[in-house]
Amino acid sequence: MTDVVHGVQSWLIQVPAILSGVGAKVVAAISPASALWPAVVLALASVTLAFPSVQLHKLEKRVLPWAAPGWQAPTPKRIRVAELMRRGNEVVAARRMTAGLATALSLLVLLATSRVGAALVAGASATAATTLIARTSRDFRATQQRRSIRYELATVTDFLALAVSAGLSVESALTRVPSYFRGVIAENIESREPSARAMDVLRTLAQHNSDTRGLLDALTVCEATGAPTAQVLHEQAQSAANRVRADALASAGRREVLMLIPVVLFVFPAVVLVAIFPGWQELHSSGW
Amino acid sequence: MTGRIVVCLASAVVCALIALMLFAIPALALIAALLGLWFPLNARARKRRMERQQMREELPVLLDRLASSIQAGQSMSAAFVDAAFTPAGRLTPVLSAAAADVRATADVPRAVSAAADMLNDPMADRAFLTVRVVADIAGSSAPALLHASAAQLRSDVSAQAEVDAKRAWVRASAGVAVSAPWITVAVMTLHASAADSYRSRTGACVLLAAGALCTLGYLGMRLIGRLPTSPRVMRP
Repeated sequence: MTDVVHGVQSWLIQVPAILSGVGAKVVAAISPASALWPAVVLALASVTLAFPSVQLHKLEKRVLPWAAPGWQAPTPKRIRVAELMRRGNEVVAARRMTAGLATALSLLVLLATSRVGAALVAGASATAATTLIARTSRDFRATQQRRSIRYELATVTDFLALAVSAGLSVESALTRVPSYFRGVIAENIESREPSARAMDVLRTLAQHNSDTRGLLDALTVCEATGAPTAQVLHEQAQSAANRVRADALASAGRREVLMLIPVVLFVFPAVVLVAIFPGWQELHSSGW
Repeated sequence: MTGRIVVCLASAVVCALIALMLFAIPALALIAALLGLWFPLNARARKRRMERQQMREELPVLLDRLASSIQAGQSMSAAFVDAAFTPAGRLTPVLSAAAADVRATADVPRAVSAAADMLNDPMADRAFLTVRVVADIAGSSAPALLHASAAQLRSDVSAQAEVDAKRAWVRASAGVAVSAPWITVAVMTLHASAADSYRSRTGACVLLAAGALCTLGYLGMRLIGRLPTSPRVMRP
C-alpha cells in the first residue's frame, strides 16, 4: 500500500507538467491553428522527459533487471551484497518509471478528451496499476533470491558442521567455503578485503537475510558461552534443511491451487466446446 | 536416436489405429496419433527420474562403505577404489571411472569432483562434497564424520523423495484435468448423430481446437506445477 502512495506522490510531482499541458490546450483553443498541435505535443513531451524524475535513460540499467528477471549485473565480484542492498534504489527506479508512464498516459488522455479530471484519474489509476505490478514482480524476485540463499545456507551449514567436527575453527572453516561452494555466500567470502575476517562477511549478509542471522546468532552464542560449536552447527544444519523442505512443500501446495487457472481458462472451454457442438450442429442443419 | 524415432512413430500409429477402430472419427485419430508420439518421450522422462531416485538412494550406502573401509585401516584413496567394486547399481559406472582416476593420480578430491560433474545432481553433490571435505581436512575422525553424513544424507534423500512425490501428483492431476474433454467426446459418440457431427469438417475443426486448448492448458499447468529445483552448489 505504501508503495502505491509513494507512486502517486511521485506522480503528483509531475502535475506541473500536466498543468502546462492544460495551458497549451487553452492557447490552442483560443487560436485553433491545427498546424501548432504537433509542436505543442513535442514541447510537452520534451518538458516531461526533461523533468528530473523522468530521466529514463539513467533508469535503464535499473529497469533492465526488472523487465528481464534473469538479468545479472556484468561484474561478477562484490556485486552480490550490492544486489541485496539495491532494493532501495530499485524501488525508486520503478516508482520513477511508473510516474513517467502515468504522466505520458494522462497527457494523451488530456489531448484526446481535453478533460483535466479524466487526465488526472487516468494518471492516478495508471500509477497505481503499474506500481502494483512492479511491486509484485519485485516481491517475486526477492522470494526467489531468499530461497536460493536459504538452500545455499543449508548446504554451507552442513559443511561447517562437518569441518568443525573434523577439528577446524569456525573462522578457518568459513574461509574454506569458497573452495567448495559457489553462490552468494561463497562469492562474498572470497571477495572480502584481505584484512577482513570471514565472520564479518557473514555479519554483513546477516543484515539482509534472516536465515543467515540465525546462523550468526548461534555462532555468537557459542563463542560467548562456550557451547559445543559442532553440535550447535549440526542442529542449525538440520533446521536449515527442514526450512528448505517446508518451503518446497508449501510452494507445491500453492501451485496446486494456481493450477486451476489453466483448467478454467483452457480445459473448461474445451469441454463446453465439444459438449455443445453436436447439438448446435443439429439445430443448425434443421434450419435454425 | 533413429530407434527412438521409430518407437515414437510406432506408438503414434498404434494409438491412431485404436482411436479409429473405437470411434471412426478421423480428427480424433489424428489427435490420438499426436498423443502417441508423446507417450514414449514421457515414459523416458519417467524412467530417468526413477533412475535418479535409485542413484540417490545409493549415495548414503557409498558413504557408509567408505567409513567402514577407513575404520578398518585403509587410506582414503584405497577405500575409494574399493568402493567402486559394488554390486552393479546406478553409481557403478561413475564410481569405476573415478576409481580409475584415483588409481592413476591418487588425487581423491579431483576424481570426486569429476564424478559429481558427471552425475550433475544436487544430492550427489552433497555426498561427493562430504568425501572431498573428509579427504581434505578430516584425520582420525573420518569414519565418524562419514557415518554422520550418511545418516543426514539418508534423511535428506527421503525428504527430497517426498517433494518429488508431490510433484508427481501435481503432474498426474494435470493429466486428469486434460482428459476431461475427451471423456466427454467418448460419451457423446455413444449417440450416432453426435458421432456423425464430429465426422463433419466443422466437427474436425472443433475437435482440433479442443486439442489445441488442452495442449495449452496442459503446458500451462506444467509451467505452474514445476517446482523450483535445487541448484547445484558444489564448486568443481
